[in-house]
Amino acid sequence: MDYLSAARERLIRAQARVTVPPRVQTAGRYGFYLGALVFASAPYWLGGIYYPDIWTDMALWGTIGLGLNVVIGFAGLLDLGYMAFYAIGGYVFANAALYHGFSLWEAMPIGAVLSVVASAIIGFPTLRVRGDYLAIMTLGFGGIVYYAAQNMTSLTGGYNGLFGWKTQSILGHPFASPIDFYPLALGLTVVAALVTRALRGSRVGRAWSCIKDDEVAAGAAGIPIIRYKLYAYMVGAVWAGLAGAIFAVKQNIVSPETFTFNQSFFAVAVVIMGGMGSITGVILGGVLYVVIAEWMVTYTGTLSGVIFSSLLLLVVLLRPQGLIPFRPRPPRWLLRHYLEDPARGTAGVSQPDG
Amino acid sequence: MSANPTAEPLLRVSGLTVAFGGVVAVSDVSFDLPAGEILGMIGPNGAGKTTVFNAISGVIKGYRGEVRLLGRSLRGRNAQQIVAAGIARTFQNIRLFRSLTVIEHVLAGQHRRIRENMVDSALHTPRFRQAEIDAVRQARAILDFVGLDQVDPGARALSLPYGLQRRLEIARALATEPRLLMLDEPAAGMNTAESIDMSRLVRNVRERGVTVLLVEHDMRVVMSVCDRIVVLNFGKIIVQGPPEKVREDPDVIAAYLGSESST
Repeated sequence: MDYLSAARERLIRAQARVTVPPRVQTAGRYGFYLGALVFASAPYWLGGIYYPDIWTDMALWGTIGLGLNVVIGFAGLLDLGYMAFYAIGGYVFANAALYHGFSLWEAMPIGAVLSVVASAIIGFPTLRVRGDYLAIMTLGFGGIVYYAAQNMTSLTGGYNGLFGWKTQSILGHPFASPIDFYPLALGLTVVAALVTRALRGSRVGRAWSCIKDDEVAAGAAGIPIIRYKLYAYMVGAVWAGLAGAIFAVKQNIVSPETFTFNQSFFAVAVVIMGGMGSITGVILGGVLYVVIAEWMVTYTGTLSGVIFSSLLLLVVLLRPQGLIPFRPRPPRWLLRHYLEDPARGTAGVSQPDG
Repeated sequence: MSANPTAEPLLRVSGLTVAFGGVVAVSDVSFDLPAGEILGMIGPNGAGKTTVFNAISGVIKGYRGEVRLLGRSLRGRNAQQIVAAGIARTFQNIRLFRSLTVIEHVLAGQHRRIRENMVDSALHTPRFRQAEIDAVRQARAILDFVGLDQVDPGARALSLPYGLQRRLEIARALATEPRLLMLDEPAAGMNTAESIDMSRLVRNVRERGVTVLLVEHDMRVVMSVCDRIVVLNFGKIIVQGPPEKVREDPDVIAAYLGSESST
């Protein structure tokens, strides 16, 4: 079989072309972890009220990016109304806290569950349509939630929003200052990152990748397409539902202004700019968004939206796969199991020169 | 139509008619495919071979007539339900996933059989690990079977040479554990040595107990592996029978001479 030996030679050549020595790779990885740790702990050594507040927003936008990344990055579906789930998380907390005496801990899971239910309700009819039509329908859903927030006054407080719940606390430690919210928001980002990363490397994640790449071929592989698209919406909605509740507590108010179409647009921009499918990428996207749209606003004023959107255009033009592109590869431990079979040996794959 | 000796064929296509707008692509096509057979489907370009494939595999749903697998109608089922029923296929223009590696293609084909739920997947529980390891072991056996044992399992599928991509598509289809494998021009674009290898693979698939429906232009492959051949022209069956009968049939010769010549 001459073409098989040609393939083997190509493989040997590819592996001989060493790009970065493993030791440098490892050093780079630890350097990255150290940098991330220093950056994440910045509010503690910068102190004050302003920085913890900004960093909490970064964590919340990182979580929004991670949730929407499941929909856009993993499953390849466009969602232009994602912030509707953030709104649901926020309003559910506000209602539960104001009228039913629930604490943040009790309200957060309720908000998450209702976000998932809402995503299933919107997903069921919309996921049968494709491409552009799907985008338009999610846009419509975002609109419904926004206008409902403005007009269903008994549930949402209308334009004024909902506010005035008692200060939330955990183990007697009150959430009073921004530095109190920060660990909560950061913890959510970390959990979202770990869970979505785990899903990406599993049967569900593979099914999403197949659907993103080629629906006909995914069907031929036996993957239930509609069901897995629905799962993508539901898994994505969880994180916005949870983050929305934290946001409400931090702001001390929920009002429709936070859930406009602009916000949903920026959520999509965060994912695309950071790198669709990439965990670190979309967190970086969320951080950049907050840096430009909130932090630098003191210097740039109303220009910040222009700056962020221009940056998005630049990224799409020059680096369409995003700032930190996702490089798909199967988990290393799986490949190890593939290679470590006694019946097969490792010839031709792990030690091509031997 | 030839009378069929078997009582219960694996696949029975009767009166299949598919029209796109006003154009009838396939008209009143009927054939039986008994379990264990390799049935070839040939005909000039545009004769309707791929349309028959698409109707059987659920890509096309609006057809008249009946497609039955072991007596059960496949009407109204979507692609993955037909895979679940036991029919897998490959595509004429290879359809691999651009972001998946070699091994992940086979794992994707095993999707329905890998036992892990969403919680297992999210938390990478011991059950998840065991399910994945079992799946990888099976995937390796399938890759070995189709002759991809020397390929890096972590390589991007689209980086493989063309002939190996075809084999990977067959591996993905076999991973669904089908009763019937439908191959749409598996030897297209291959040289002589490669199409001999492909013929051997098709025969090996049958040895595994999988029935094969083969659309192919390469007459060396068709004549050497098929037990029976169905010839389509302008959406209709003009002849069906064993290779030696089909080869000498004047209608078949006319159909091929009257259009673009095959290989």
